[in-house]
Amino acid sequence: MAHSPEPATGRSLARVTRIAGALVVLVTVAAVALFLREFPEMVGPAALGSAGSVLLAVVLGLSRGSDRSLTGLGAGLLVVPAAVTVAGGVLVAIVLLVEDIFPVEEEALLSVGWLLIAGNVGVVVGCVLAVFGLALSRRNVVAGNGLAQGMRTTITSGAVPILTALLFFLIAGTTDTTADDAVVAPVAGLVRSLVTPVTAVVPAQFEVPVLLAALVVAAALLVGRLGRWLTATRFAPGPRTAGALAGGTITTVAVIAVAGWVYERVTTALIQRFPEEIEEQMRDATTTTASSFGESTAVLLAVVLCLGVLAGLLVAVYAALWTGLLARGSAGSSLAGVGVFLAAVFGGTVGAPAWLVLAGVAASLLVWDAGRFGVTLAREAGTGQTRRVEFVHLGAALLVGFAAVVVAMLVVGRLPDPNSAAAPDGPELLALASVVVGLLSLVLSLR
Amino acid sequence: MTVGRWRIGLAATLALVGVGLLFAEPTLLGAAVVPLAYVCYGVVSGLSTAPRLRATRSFEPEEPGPGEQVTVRLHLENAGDSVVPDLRIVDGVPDLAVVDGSPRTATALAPGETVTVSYSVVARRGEHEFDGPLVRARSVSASTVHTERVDVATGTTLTCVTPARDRLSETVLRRVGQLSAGGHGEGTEFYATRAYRRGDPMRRIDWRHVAKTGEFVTVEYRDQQATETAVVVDIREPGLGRPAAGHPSGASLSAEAADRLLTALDRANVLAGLGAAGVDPGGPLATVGNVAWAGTAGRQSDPSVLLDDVRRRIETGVDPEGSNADGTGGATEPGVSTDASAGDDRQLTARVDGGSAASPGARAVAEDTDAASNRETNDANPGSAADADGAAAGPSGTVEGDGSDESIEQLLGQMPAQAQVVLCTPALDNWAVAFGRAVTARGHDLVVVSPDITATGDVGLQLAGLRRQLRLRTLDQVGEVVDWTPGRSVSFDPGGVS
Repeated sequence: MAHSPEPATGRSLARVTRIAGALVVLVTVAAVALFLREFPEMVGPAALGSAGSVLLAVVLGLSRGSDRSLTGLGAGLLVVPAAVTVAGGVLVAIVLLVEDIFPVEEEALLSVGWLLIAGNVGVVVGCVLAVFGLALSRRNVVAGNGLAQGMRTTITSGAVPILTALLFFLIAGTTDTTADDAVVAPVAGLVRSLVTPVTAVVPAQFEVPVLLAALVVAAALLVGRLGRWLTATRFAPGPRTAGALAGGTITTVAVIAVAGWVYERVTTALIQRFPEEIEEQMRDATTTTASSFGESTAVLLAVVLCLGVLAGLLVAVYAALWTGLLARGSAGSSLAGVGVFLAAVFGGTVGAPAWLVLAGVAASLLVWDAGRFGVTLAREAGTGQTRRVEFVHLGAALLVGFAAVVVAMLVVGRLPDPNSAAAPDGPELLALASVVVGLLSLVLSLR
Repeated sequence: MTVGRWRIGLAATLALVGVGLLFAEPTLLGAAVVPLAYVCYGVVSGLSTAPRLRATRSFEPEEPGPGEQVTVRLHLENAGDSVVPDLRIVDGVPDLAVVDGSPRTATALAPGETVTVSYSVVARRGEHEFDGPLVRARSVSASTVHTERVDVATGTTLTCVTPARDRLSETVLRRVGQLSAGGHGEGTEFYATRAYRRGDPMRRIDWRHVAKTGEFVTVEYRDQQATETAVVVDIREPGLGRPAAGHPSGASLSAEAADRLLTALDRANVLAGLGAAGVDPGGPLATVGNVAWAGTAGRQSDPSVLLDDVRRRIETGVDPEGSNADGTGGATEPGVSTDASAGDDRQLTARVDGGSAASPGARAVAEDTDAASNRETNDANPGSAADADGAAAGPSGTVEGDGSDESIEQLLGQMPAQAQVVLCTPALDNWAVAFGRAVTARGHDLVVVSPDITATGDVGLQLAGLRRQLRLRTLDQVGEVVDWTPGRSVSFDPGGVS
């Protein structure tokens, strides 16, 4: 028969029905917006991390494309910015919270402070993960071998700054000089000597475009030469790999070029947020680091840490797909649901209002269900009409969620305020938990 | 069948209970009710019984001709007592191209309610068995799934035959089979005048002459004689590609046209024979080179048998009892599409004109095809100014790139000297123009029947269609052209007959 019920092509896995897809986007965006409204100081870090997650989704999308050097180059150029912004969002959140919470008045409040930081950072991580899931779900870039290809591109592109950082670290560790003095300064001088004749003849307003054009031409010639050399050897990489290598090289050079400026700005901003008592110590530490290892080395090492965070995220997603925790067809929406759930749970640990926590949990399950339902329906119904089925299923899920939230509000309303003197202690909480587990067991036995 | 759709709810419940205990946070403990509610929802909602469905199917038209679009309507009724909240349906379409609509749908059905799935397929000759629709029912929570194939009460077979009223044959036959011969007779062409004799019909008197001179004269007309007609079908490689998956190729439609004309001409006793151009030179069909001829003289061969063999060659891409030139028995030649695949479009476009291929590989095929076509048409005239795709534009946009062709000479050598020729060709390259010129140069009258497979398609096919129109315009100058779109009106454009 020409038309089988379950066409299992990558292309068909990428589709989701319109209403389900719209519900996933609306509910996720609404949940993220409500959580950030409740934690306004986390808006900046969440926005930074979300931008990085979108860049990461673009990297994965480009990596899944045709095996061409341009797609590899594009992906390679975005790996470092994606890593820096994803990790940067979390780090900025930590720094802001540390500035707000510390120093504490009593030592006993130290652990409370760290729990508050963990809770708030958890909200940021949840929001970033939700946005990442949304970005993935647009074209389901993890379908087929998209994620594996994306990881290969990330590793290929990230290998250049990692190896460069290692080299610079070894230079600083084994010699009396830093890589800034041994490598960066001479190269910068050479470039300056090449640029000076250009700036002497070119009018000031055209200096930057001309220099940029010259840089691009030089980079293209160098990359082309390198590519031809590599092609002639038995270790010739494919076009996409070569492009990713080129992208990693260009970003590494760019990082080194701005390392001094970045190091100064970041360390100054960090030191200002620490208490005055340790400001002097922090300043000495940063100066010592710069003189011992060089600013380029320090910045590259920070980039490597960010790449590690990015790699950890990709590995976690890969593991979830491989173990079946995430369905490949609806991985994006499932991740979005997990993100909203994390935001709700961590928000609940740091005093988010009950209605927001309950609504967040319900929203996460709704997003999870709508995503899987929409992908399965698109695969089985193809381009046929699906509106009626979607309204029935999604409407029922919404009703159940609403009813569950109402019941949960009643339950929570009966519970004593944790900040009051009559707060429930261990045995009471355990009893409550036992009721829930008991209900769960009853439900399982009914199945 | 129950699926573990809401296992995630279990995980969420346990996670909330754990974190709630860890942080001593009653809100999180209370939040565990939400995923628990979804788990209960998945358990409680199920399909009480397997859905009872009744299916009927109808076709419009019920007996289409090859290449025509058929609207298929599948009606599925919920004959049970309970609502089916989630029903997904896939109709059992055989190997026919779906060109409009979709054989899939999803809906919810109340008891007694009916859903209609409507889509269009392109008919191919023969009988096509439709399987019963595959349905998959789910509960509201999608935690219970039931899949089955529903038997269809009516409309299981689509039969595609030549239509009883064949407008194509009617249109062509008005122009062939009769020729004005020498000598006076009962024709319609003026021959001479003579003095009136007693008994001459009144309608034959030249009354104008009578009014002028007063003399009675009788007009004589040329005698009409039935003349033999040879049908030639073009099944060369450019016509073997399909415009889209499941659609008939130009060669198959040409064979269809030839079939209809053979029947009508044989009935009128004016059939001279059937020729086929583009057979495998080494195969059993070939008479000389890559042409085959089955003449009716002496009844030594049967044109209908040749046509059946030709049709088999088109469907399988090989000679029916032989193998390909490369020795692979029964294998599909490169570019000959028998499977419904997306590559067919590119193959056809590449094969047609070379200027509209979708990929470098297809363009290479196109260049080879047009180079071969140029060699075919320009063997005796190497100096002809053919452009890159073999269509040298002559004055007023006609096609000139032609010369004598060995296959054309072989074919003309087989047919009777005075026969009219009906050429059935998709006109996707310049061979048809070369044949038309050669035929009329030898004094044969020519009618060209050309099925249009470029009417619906992408930009490449539309470009091929424009070039086809140029060729038909050129042929119009040497013969008469019948432009045929299967399933639509027959366009007949009488031109000057040399």
